[in-house]
Amino acid sequence: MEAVKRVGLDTNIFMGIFLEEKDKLEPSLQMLKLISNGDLEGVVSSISLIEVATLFYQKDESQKGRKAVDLIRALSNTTIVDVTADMAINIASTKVSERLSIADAAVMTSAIELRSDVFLTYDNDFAKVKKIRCMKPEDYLKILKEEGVQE
Amino acid sequence: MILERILKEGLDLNLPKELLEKAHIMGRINIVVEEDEITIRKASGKIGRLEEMAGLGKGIFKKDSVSLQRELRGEWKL
Repeated sequence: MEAVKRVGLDTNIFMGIFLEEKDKLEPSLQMLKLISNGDLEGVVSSISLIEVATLFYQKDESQKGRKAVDLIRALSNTTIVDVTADMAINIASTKVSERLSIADAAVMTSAIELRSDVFLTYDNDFAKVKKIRCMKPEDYLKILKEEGVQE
Repeated sequence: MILERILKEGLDLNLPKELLEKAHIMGRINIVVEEDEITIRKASGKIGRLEEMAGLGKGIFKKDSVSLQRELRGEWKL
């Protein structure tokens, strides 16, 4: 019996879907479908919810901002991870050792804390991270295909 | 404990139907194996709301998703 793999999702995965970005939309939606179907589990930092809402609020689109956050929160098989005092040291350590911004470190640490298999992002700032595998959804989909998780 | 023995020996874990019914566990489920426990969760097959996500922010933002994220996170940089 094999455990369902967990995947951390960065804010840009959701924003890419909201913006219907060419090349990002399909692989990102496919990942969310695998999560919704129970083939994978999703891990999202509460900071990502703040970021998504902020981006919409900055454009005077509060209603859409609330809807965007509600849609992410309603994702099946997905854990929203709050930043807690227990995570402070790990976030700080990740920030320094991986040379990330505090927000990058906090969002990624949520995935690490829940022992995620991978952290999915389109941001190349994570390319040299050593604490967890960071990659684009399309690259992880290829790995899942090889492993037989998706056809 | 029986469960510990099952996990240690790699045997199949059979849960009686009555037990699953009592816990209202039917249809699609997820089994999450942690270091010292097994969690059974109901899996939802709903994907309809995912389609609602696509295009929600279209026409609102001029920059791409990564640039928007970087701009926000730049505020945290020391």
